[in-house]
Amino acid sequence: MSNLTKRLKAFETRVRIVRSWRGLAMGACVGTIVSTVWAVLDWRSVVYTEWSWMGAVTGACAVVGAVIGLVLPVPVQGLARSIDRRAGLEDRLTTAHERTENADAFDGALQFDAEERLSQIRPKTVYPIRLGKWHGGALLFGLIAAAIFILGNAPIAMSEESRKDREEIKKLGETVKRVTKENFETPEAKQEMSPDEKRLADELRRFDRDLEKAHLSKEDALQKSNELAQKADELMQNAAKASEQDLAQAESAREQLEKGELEKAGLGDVSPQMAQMSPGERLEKLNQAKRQAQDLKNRLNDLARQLDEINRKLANKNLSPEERKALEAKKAEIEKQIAKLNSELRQNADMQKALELSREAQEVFRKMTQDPMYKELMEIEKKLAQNSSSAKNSGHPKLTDEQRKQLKEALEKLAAQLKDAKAMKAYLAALLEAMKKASELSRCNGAGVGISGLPSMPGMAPAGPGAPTEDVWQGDSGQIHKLDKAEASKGTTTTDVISGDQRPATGPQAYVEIRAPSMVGNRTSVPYRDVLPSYEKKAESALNRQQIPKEHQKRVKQYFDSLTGANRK
Amino acid sequence: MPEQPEATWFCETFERVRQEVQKVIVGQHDIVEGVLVGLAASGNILLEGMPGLGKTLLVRSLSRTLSLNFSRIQFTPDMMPADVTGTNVLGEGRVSEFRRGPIFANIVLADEINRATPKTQSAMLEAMQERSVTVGGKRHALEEPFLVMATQNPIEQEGTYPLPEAQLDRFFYKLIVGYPTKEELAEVVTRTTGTLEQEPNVVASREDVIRMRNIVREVPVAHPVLDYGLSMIVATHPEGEGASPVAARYCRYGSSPRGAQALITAGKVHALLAGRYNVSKEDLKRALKPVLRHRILLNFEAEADGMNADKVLDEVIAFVDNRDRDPIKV
Repeated sequence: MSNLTKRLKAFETRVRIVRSWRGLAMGACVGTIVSTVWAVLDWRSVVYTEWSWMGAVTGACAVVGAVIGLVLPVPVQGLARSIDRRAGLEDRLTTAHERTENADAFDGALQFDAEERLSQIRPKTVYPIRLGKWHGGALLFGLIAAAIFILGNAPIAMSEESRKDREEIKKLGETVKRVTKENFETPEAKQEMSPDEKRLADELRRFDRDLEKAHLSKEDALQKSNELAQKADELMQNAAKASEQDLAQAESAREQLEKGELEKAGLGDVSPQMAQMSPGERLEKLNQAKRQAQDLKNRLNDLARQLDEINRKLANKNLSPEERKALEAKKAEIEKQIAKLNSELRQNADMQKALELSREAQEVFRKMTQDPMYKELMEIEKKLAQNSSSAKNSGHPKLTDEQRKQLKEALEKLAAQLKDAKAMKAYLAALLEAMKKASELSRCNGAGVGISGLPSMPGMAPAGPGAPTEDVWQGDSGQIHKLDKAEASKGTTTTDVISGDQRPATGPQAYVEIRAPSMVGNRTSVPYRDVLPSYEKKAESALNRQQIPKEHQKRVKQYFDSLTGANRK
Repeated sequence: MPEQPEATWFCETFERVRQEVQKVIVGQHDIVEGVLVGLAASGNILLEGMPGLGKTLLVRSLSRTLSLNFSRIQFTPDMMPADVTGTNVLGEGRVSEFRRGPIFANIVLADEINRATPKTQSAMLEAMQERSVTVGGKRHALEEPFLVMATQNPIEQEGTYPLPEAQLDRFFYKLIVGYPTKEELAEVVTRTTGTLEQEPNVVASREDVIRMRNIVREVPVAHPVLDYGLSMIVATHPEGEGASPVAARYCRYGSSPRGAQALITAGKVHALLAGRYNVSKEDLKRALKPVLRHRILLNFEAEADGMNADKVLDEVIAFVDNRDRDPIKV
């Protein structure tokens, strides 16, 4: 590398810096133009934007421009020509750069002359950093974008009423934002959300933006919130159905597990239901089966006698063809019935055998149900079933977020413990699926309930877990509104009508129905399955503490057993 | 800066000759320099100007300064080619011998060349280009250095024969000799009407002139500078791709390749005179008008619009400059 080329390096670096400065301005100019268009579209409610977004785009464009300016190649020959032009070196550098081999008489002197001239000039004087038209453009478009954004988002030149409306709508936006965040922006939700949920979350975010910018009128906001609440409710119902299906699969898996355990003990003929029968039930079933067997035998004997009679008649040669035909038809019918009864008798015998074996199966089953893992899974299944059922029937899932998390953790822990038990694994997998649906159900419910009470329009009170906690009657639109706060309220309020002074107007009367934790309308708001275990425990402890005859103790136990059985079904 | 001895010698010699000539010629610095550039670049010079502006004196002074053979040919319409080149005559013993014409000199002043007939003018062509004359089928070489300096009067049209384009192209430079300023005129009058007459001294030899010419050829030209110069030449071609709008409108014919050669050579001399070892675009711009003003042929529209060659060439320079952008955009 010649000395001249080395000296040109400093100028090359300077050119890169100046280009970077210019590229920065060009990028910023492009960014601010984009921001201007964006701000206009935002003002026209076509798209949504924020200060920070516009700034980020402008900044990104500026950085890209600066980087491009920095990395663009700087040809040495071009650089020499450029310096010649700018520093008035009268093509000394250009010529000297071309003739570096000292081939001709003037080459050495030319090189020295060029180097000396170059040493007398400084890169920053040849390539000064200046504010150019691109910088001006960036500044101008930045100001335009800012002005448009401010005009589109600030309540300048608005009436007092419009400003109030705007403030109200913005407040609604904050609520929607909170609802969206709580339900769809948790790490768990982000992992588990279904496509439908994602769509709902996106819609909620758009709705939130529109509200924040007050792009919607109050009426539109109400309509939109109703639509979204309805969507959330539909999603929740779908999730509840899916959860039930998963639970059915879980139940099926559990039955397979139970059956497998019985088969291992050589009791494959015994169904899990039989194994879980009480001794009394078993005895009763056995007696019933014996009676049925006896009945079948009697019927068989009767049919055998009838068959003998027909055979005897058929042996008579004086029978007319018609009579013979009728007898043969009757004979075939009786033989068919006999075959059927024989089959039933065999089944009956199998059943009796199974019932006989079910005592042993019960022992197997008892051991299995004493397995803590199995017990825990059963418990989870039960809770999920309650949750799903509650969501489907009352519109509110039973499990709180905290409870769901605990159940999920428990399931995951169990999954980690299970290594070889295939049937147990299947059961567990089905429960995990049901768990996911339970989460979805909970999110949709949270969103739906949160949105449904959104618009704080005259006559509308915020309600639901996603809304402010106070029950405030904000006006009277002459319509009936329901405050659905079953989950949030605490206490034992049973009042269902608030009476007040009647309006002088002739419109329909307004009242508020408060769904209290204990009662909703004329039915309990707590499913009996939730309280059953505690009642059962209380009953058991009462039985233990007091001198109660054994027969009665058994009766109490049977009562709770029957309830539990019904619950499972 | 390490001095390049040849370049230094060139500049010193050039300056000495100039100073000697300027002892006699008052003012006309550009003309004197132009003539010396032509001398250094091996080019013939066409001087155009009104009578009495010192054209002949300039050429004579130059020849005296350089101690070269000088001859003057006053062209008239009845002059024959043999009057210029020489002729074969019967000498003693009836042997035909060649008698040299006035063209056989180092510096030939062809005074009022446009008064000669085209036939006589064309006799100059071979001498100017080939540095030789052919008489009676025999070629006679001219002694180096050879330089033709022709003058012509622009106003007298009666009885004149404008030089054909082919002959004009042989001239390296065309210099327009203008009127002196009042101060210069006063100096001229003072010098020529007094008792003391300045005589130029001999400051350079024939060999010095040849050496100067060789030094000029050594000066390097960078490709972008060459490209710039050729762009100016091409810009004069009215039908070429790189034609300037003005040339396309006003030129009938543009510069020949000989014009390009002359431009670069003149640029080299100017570079040396500026103390540089390279030709710059400024050197070429400076040389453009004297090199091309007689090489481009303007059309009737140019005449009607009051355009002359120098104005067209100014536009050509502006056109090429405008297209010559800074290669580094910042």
